[in-house]
Amino acid sequence: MTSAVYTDTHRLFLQAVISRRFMKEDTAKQLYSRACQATKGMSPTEIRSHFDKHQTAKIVPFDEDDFTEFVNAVNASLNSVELEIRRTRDEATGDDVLALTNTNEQKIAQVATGYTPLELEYFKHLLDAIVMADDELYCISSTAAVNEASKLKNKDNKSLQLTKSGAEELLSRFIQDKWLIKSKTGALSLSTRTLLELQTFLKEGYEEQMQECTLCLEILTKGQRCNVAACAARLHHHCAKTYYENMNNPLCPTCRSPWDGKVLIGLGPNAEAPQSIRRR
Amino acid sequence: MDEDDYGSKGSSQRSNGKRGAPSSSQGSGSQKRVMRDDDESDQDDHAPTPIRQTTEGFKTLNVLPTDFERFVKDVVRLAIFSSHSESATVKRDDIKAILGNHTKVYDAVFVSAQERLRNVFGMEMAELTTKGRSGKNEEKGTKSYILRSVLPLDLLGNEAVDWDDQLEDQGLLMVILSLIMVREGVIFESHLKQHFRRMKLMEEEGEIEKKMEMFMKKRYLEKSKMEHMDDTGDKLEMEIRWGARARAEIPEENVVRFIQEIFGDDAPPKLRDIIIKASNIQTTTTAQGNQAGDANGNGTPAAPAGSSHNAIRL
Repeated sequence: MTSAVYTDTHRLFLQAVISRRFMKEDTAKQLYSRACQATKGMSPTEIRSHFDKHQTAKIVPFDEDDFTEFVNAVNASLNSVELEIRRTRDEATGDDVLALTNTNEQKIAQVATGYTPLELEYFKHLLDAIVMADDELYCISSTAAVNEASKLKNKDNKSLQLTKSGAEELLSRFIQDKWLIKSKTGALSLSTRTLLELQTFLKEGYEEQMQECTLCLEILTKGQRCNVAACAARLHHHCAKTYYENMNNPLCPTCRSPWDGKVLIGLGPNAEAPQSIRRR
Repeated sequence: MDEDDYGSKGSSQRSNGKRGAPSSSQGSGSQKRVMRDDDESDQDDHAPTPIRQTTEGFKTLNVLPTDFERFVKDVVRLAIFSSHSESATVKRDDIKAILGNHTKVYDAVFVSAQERLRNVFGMEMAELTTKGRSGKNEEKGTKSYILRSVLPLDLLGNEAVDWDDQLEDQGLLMVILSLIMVREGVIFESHLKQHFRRMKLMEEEGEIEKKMEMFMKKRYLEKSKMEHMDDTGDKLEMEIRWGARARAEIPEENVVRFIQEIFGDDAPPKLRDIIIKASNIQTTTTAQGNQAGDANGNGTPAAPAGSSHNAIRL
């Protein structure tokens, strides 16, 4: 395997990734091809006429392997600062997404920049409530979340200053910054970003509660489970779809019993989240 | 370059004194007692063994290579993730906070971090300055930095990838910066608005103000009360200038070329000279390597050179 050369194309791509931080893989591929273009030494006029003519950035054809190798080269360089570009699939949509993440995130503060300690404290509470939810629901209602705010206590066991409206505002920030997702019914759950960037934190802090997809072995908070209560098989929706695509008689990958995919992990599409919060 | 020597990656251990060769024969006890380094700072919870002999570059720094590497990494990550905050600045105090008690290695860490930033990202930290108002071009350092690209690309190639969803804003900013530049660095707010009206830009109610406020918040523009009255004599005018971030991020060379591009084929001969004369800016030949952060981290933030032209300083 030839060692990849690290060039300005890589750096330019990386700069674009930094400003977005979290994106669909398709977007990343576009950035890759545009970075290639930009560094090919085209003059401004040439680039402009290309854009005008084709109305698209996908001018330089590339293949999958090139892109993967390219990202690997970038990651090799990022290794020297303990960052990496990670890839995963969105639990809800199945889209491939990329994110720039720390490789050793021990504390949420390092990852979720731009929040005060108090805000992070609230976030941690919400994480806790979501992960600890009954019946593998991995969600809480927004109302419960807001009420939770008044129960925040600092180390001296005094109440912290987060009003209901403050909590509501904070919640929308979390949603806007893509740490939490809010469903149509007002249920809050963990976003793909949180699962990707806070993986270590979640896996280490909530060993019992966090589960893995039986097929792809990645964290799972939305998906399907085996009908047999004692069986531990769990699948992402997109993993199940691929796995059972051509199977006439879907069976559980672990215990071989019939699999109908109706027993859900996470909240069903129109269901409402539980109103109470269980604490650890 | 120094990475071969640094064994462990992983969690920082700078808060306990137990790292490093445990050759202290007296057992632990008070760590300070056995300090052979004449270190002023008694707060350092070093391992008792003298560290001077560890590695060439660290002879006088009293810091373990692994710790030094840890600092460099954390500073780089601080810089990268700071670009997401509103102000997008890295404060010198934040860097010092990373170093904990080892503030003596600030300069060395800073230089290494800059190098790491350039190697991996093609970026560097540039100090934001406040410009002296008395007509002289003195720039005073503030204690904060922004991250900027130092890739040797021309305008369109570079920013097109970066500003993607904000091309409109970037274009607008370039227009404003050009208008300011060719007026030797200052324009009245009312005149600026007149220009917009003539160009039929942002005709919606309040749109101009919103955009201007955004640019000011991001430090691309600065507003200040003017020093002279305007023509009519009674209305108080605001002056708009390039902000600290524009000074650090956008070389004047780019603005000159932006203007040239707008003229396109209709450009009068010697347009470039006309622009430079109107702007009253100096052309200096500065090699790209010199400016970026000298050892004090106080390097004058001359903008990086465009590809083949001389760097122009405001």
